[in-house]
Amino acid sequence: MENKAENGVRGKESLSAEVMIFGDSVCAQRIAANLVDNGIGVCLAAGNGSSPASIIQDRVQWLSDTRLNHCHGFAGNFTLQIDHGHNQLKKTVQAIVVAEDDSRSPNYSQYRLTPGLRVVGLSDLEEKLKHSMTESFSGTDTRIVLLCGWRKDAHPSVARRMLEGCLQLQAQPGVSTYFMTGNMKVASAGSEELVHKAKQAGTVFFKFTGVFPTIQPQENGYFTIDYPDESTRNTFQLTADWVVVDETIEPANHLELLIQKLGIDQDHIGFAQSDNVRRLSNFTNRRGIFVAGGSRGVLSHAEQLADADQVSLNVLSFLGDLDGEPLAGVTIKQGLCARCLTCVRLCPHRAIEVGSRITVITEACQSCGICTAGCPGRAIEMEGVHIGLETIQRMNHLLAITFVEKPRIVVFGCMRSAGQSHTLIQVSGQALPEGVGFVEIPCGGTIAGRHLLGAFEAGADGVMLCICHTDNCQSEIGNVVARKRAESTRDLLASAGVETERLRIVSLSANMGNEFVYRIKAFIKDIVLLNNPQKENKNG
Amino acid sequence: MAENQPIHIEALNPDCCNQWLYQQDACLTCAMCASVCPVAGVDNYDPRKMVRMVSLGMVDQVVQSRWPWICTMCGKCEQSCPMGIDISDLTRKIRSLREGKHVPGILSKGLAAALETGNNLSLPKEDFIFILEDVGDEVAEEPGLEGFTVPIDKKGARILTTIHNKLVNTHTEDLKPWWRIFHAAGEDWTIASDNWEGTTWGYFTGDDEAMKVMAGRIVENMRRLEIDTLLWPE
Repeated sequence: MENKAENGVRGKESLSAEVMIFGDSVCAQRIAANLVDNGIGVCLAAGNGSSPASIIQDRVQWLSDTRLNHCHGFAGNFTLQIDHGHNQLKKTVQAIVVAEDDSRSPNYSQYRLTPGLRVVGLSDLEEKLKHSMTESFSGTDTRIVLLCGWRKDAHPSVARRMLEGCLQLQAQPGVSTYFMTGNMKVASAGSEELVHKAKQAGTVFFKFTGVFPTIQPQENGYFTIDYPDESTRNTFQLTADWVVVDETIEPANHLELLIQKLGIDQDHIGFAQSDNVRRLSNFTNRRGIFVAGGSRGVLSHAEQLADADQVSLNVLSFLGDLDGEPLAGVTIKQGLCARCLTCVRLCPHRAIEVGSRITVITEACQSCGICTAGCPGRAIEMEGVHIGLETIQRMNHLLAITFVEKPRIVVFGCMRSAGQSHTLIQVSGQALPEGVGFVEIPCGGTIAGRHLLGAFEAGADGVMLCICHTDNCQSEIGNVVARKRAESTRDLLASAGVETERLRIVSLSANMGNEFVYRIKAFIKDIVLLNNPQKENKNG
Repeated sequence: MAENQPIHIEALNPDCCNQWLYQQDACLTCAMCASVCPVAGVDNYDPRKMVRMVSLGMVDQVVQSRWPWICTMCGKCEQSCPMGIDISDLTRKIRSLREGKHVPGILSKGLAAALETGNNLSLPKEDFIFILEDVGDEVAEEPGLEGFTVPIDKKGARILTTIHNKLVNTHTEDLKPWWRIFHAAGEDWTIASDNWEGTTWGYFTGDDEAMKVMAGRIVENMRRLEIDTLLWPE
């Protein structure tokens, strides 16, 4: 495999690696150590001028002062252009791991404070405690106030660190600690115990939800803190020697650039992993690109280490499967392709290559079919997927013979949710109601308006489209585009004088066998009423 | 409480009560207790406020307030507390810290009378016996209860029963159902002529010592009259 990597190197320095890790965090270094232990060549690109820890020294290629310029290629064969100091490197790797540290900044402004001698951020406090630089805190009658999550809840991992710091301070001779918090998620692992320990150690807690204390710096550097206490309804005053502020954990500044260059999805905060359960724990929308630790969210130190071990397993498994069978092929008929780039824009997996021709990168393609349904020229075909008019007509032929009096229902369902639920029904000895034809599709996004209309054209009385729940789509946007396409199909039905209720969109998960049947039965009931409007009156 | 002047937290001693076993420091200030308390709002009282003040070392203020005496001891606060704080016991403890003469009137007088005379009313022994015998005579006039007498100080009886002071004061009619049942059941029972009081207001004032004295007197009656079984309706 090392030879394969050599081939891609074009820069001054010839480097051999199978996996590129971005970041020099503790998490990144642990991933590097894990992979090297498994005989995998690793290159680690640090943004700044840091140097490796001893566990990986001399075993990995360590590039400091780097900046990713361009990422080209696909799972198993990524080519990276990296600025390295004044040089440019080109590296070819099989997999990429983004494991940059998060960025931590003290919340001075949340407490209307400015950085100062007697105002300490949480990370600074931890450094001081780690290096036993606590003598400045001890002394007779030293009062330290810890400020945690007033106007914005502190992340549970931050709150826990505040509590841990508080406990250590309280243990110093002559120190009294006061913990002033907003709403705190004590239900998160270990928090309640820490609160309890701190209270036992003598920390005094105050909680605020609406009105917050005012903190006035005094001339001697101390602080006067005035606050109305919500539970006792008394006004209190405290003079503090030190104030410790919590911090906000955000994506590192340069993560944005990496995300952009690598073409991976972000979550709502800006971390390099979308809010999608299918991405857990370390996957991205792109095959072969993984994300870990402080790059994918706010993780505690222990969680980051666990994440490093998990992503190492994921990478090893990915490398082991590289020579395996590719997924069902998606092909672009060149004669029909107008190079409109709709497919490039739609593909959540970055599997469309724009070259002299537009082609599908088999190694990156996840066979969701979002491009096939979106292609205005119908130039893209998926092997083994038949959901067009003919398929439905064949099915309808069967329906027509067997169930003349029943409404004809066509159900399209994603193989990851409705498909699984359908299997669940079958293995538990149940069957779908009579007159229902189920068409399993690779993804909700495989369905175009023409497929839905085709089902009506073939004689269906009702069409149900089953997609995955929000933030549950393997292809990120499959359920979103499916919903959009179905809704615009409804408009078409309305303009043709067909009741829009005949097309229903539902979302399911994989374990909803009974609910799947229930939803179909309810749909049939409504379609029967639409077919026989008088029936309701007669019965009523 | 004076709301104008800020309270200097550093002058308080939050450690003062950390040896108490009521878990008041576990309070998360969720206010479940305040939301279920039937007297929350009276004199600005609510259980959370009391718990928090104790936890902050403001015990004196709580002891001096009317709050612990507004509480009806219903215990709903304690049932709803997610942290298992023993709020009722804490309230009793606070009540116990009030100096005797400052305990609210009737409780303080009744308890003092009980400790001195054996019952909350200071009812003399001869009056007590007179009332019992008078009610006994009325019962004996009822059909089927001819010849009924009240067994007082009967040595070796099977059951000793105590009397709530109101039954020999304003509610004498309420004595009769008990006695009818004893008679119908052929029960061998008796009432002590001294220290017959069944209530002990030390429960309400948080005075455990007084409770011990009152209970000890009942035990002493059982020893004196050689009775094994106590019927203690209070």
